[in-house]
Amino acid sequence: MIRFTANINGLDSFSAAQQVKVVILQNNRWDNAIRDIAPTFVRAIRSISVR
Amino acid sequence: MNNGIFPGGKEWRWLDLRSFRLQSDRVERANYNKNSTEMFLFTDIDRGGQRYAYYSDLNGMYSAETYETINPYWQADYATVHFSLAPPGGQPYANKDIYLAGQLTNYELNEKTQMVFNKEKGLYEISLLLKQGYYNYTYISVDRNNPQIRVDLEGNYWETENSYTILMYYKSFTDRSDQLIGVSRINSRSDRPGVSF
Repeated sequence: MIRFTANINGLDSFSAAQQVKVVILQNNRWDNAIRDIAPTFVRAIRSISVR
Repeated sequence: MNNGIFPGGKEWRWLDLRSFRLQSDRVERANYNKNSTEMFLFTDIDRGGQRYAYYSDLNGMYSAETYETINPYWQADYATVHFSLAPPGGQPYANKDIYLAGQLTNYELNEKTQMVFNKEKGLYEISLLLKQGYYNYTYISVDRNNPQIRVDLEGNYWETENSYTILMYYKSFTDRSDQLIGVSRINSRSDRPGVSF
């Protein structure tokens, strides 16, 4: 499972869950890319996490 | 929803075609015809029941390389390469279609990448026209009754070394397209907390 946190301080985004999208590639492949990921949390200190 | 889980697969099979004159470890024999070259590879055995073993690979990718010319991109030769796979007991996998996959086929599962079962030999076979280089490939099985089920024929192992790329896009409510705002790469083996080798 890929878990990560991204800092979105510089973004003009009041609704990160709708305006930020993530794609994860395994071994540079696009045929099995995971695209349907939404943040698990959007924190007040302006970071988003996928757990 | 899939929460970022990928099957690990196994380390990739390799094929060294950097030279057609020097027949590398996976090449059994070759036909050097007047206008073409054919390479016959050793039969691959289903590794499904074997324990995981680490070796360095290209994670499914290939690299155009030659020993005998200076520039592989426009001086490398091409050959028809004959692959074969021995299923257990010489019997075809029940209700499964087998495909050869890797960057060399652009991971496409179609009639050009599907293995054909040869009843007389008890082997799956496929031939591809390949340029000189170093290749990785694997076998993918697709369930005939449920084609969404595409799995690595030889199983998944938590130890397998894989690379992952996280791409983050941003699109504000007034933008017309997504913008790539962040790229991060991690490796399942060298970036594992507490263990790196």
